Amino acid sequence: MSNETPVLELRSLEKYFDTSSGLFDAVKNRILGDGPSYVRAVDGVNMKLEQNQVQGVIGESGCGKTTLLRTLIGLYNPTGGELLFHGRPVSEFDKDEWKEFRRHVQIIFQDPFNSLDPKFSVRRTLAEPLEIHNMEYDDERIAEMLESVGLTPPEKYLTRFPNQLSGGEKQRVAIARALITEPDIILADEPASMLDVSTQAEILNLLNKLTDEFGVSMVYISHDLSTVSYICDTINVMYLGRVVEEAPTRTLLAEPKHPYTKALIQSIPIPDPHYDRKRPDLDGEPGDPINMPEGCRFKNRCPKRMDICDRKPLDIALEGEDDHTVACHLYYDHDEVEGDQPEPTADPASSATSAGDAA
Amino acid sequence: MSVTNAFKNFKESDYGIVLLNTLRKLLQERITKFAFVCLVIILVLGTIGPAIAPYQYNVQHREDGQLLRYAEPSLDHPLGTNDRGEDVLSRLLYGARTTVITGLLAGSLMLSIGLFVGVTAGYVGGRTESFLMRFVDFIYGIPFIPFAIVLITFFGAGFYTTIAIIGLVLWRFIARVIRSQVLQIKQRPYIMAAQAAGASTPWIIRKHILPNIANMAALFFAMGVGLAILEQAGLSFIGVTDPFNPTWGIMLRNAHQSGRVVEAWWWSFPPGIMISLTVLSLYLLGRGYEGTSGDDEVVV
Repeated sequence: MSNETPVLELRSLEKYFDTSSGLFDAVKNRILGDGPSYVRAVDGVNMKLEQNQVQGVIGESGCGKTTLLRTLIGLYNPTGGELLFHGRPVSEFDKDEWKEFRRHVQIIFQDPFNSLDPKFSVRRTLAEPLEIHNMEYDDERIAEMLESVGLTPPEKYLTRFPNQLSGGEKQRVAIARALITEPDIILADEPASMLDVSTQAEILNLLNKLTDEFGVSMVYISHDLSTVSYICDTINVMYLGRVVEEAPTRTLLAEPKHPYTKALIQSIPIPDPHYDRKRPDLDGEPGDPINMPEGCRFKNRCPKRMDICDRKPLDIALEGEDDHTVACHLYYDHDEVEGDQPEPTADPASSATSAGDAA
Repeated sequence: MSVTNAFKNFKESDYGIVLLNTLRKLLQERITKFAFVCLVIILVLGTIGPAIAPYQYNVQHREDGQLLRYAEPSLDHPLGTNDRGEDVLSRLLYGARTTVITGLLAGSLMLSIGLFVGVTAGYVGGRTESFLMRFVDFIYGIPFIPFAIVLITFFGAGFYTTIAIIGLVLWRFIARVIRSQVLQIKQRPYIMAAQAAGASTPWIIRKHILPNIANMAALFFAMGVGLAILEQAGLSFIGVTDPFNPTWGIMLRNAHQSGRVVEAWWWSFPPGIMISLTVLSLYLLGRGYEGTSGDDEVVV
């Protein structure tokens, strides 16, 4: 990877939610001597987003994708770890810097039917971020932006309201809103999942084109491996709040290492009912993010479970190749290091230690 | 020229489009149209009523030196006269103004307090919300009529005192409903989109929350106006408001006190009918307006 500072860097980012609610729970916890129990929605995630890069985050429902995204955009305060924007930690930002940060980091939501204010016309929807950041604009600029997201002729759309737009058009407006402040980073939360398939392809192509055209980086979050592999340079596979495997798209698809990734790839639907495929040998359900098991989080469903999966608490990160990281005991010779810490890379090690402390 | 230009600009701005669309949708339904026409007539009466009234509202008419009491409707007095020989039609027309003022003032007061408390509680949440909503519960515990009687004993029975009391107590139901609306709107992704774009809380409340609860607020404003007119009629009926201002409620009360509600029907029916008509039209209009927002929510 390049030596430049990444646009966005996550260092063992954590977001825990306190499950106790209100005074009663607090008193109960105090009396019983329990600490408050946490939902560990995002637990020690490392990621580097370079200029012009598209990072995919993939995982099943409830694995913490959306929490991760909301933490990235600063809507949630991370409970641990660091988030660096152009090399500077956001926790040290003052009010003006936050506003600047919000101008450079924009978001596209999953649900185009609710992410546009029904009382705002397209023109006003696009003008709003500019007004918030006191940027000069005229109808010309808005029209140009509409044109570049494929809403032509723009004049036709300027005075329309969301209820006069189709789902795909709404999502295009949402993309235009995200791009109009000339951001560095776009966070996309499954922007295609609520559209029908033909529109999905259009939106993905559009995103592909625009990220190149405007030179923005993107974090693309989805549960759908086929769309992620279509658009992303690098894929992070997330399971129960942790990234279990990270690799460039081709590598990940060609030689998945983690059993979970393998299962994911095996379950990409193939539109041929007669194709005889191997079923992923996974059963059970993802664990409870409140009472996380010791050791590997995937072990209860893992077909290749070993003894060491129970014993190594949390600390199962290992570097495979240069740009391929996998968190699994299968891929190193653990006899050598049994009872001892394995030789992980610097970053995952610190993540694991801090996560272990918190747990 | 500049006026037409300004009008044209307004018509093409967002507010203009929303306003015109809403009006168009509102007037599509026959019953809403009827309510709208009724309200316009009542508003016009409230404005020009005293000017077109045939007599002063408190002139006592005489015939052959005798007070003209309980005269049946005739050409001179289209709605007859009351127990003091005053012309009922003139009083009805004068009353339109005071009734409209009562409704609008008390209704706006209720709406402003209710909106403020409701939006603050709903949007800020946490301890502020608990505190404000417990306060609303406390206000709910106040029995209105006895409370009004006590307050009027202190401040004296005046036209505006009554309005203030109505407004300051009856905002409670608006606050509750508005809060629940805000709680719902707050969770919508477009609010989060605005937050992510860096909008401040006042900005979000002004630009996103208020326009999106406007329909609900309008309905409850209409209900508030109706309620205020009714409550004022009720208050005047039991005699705790300024009896010299001829609102429709006071006319009813006077008719009742004279014991001639049935015999002097020309005296008691018109204000009763006008009150019912006003309140009914307000409800219908509010309902109709609330309905216009229906197609905004697209069900996937």
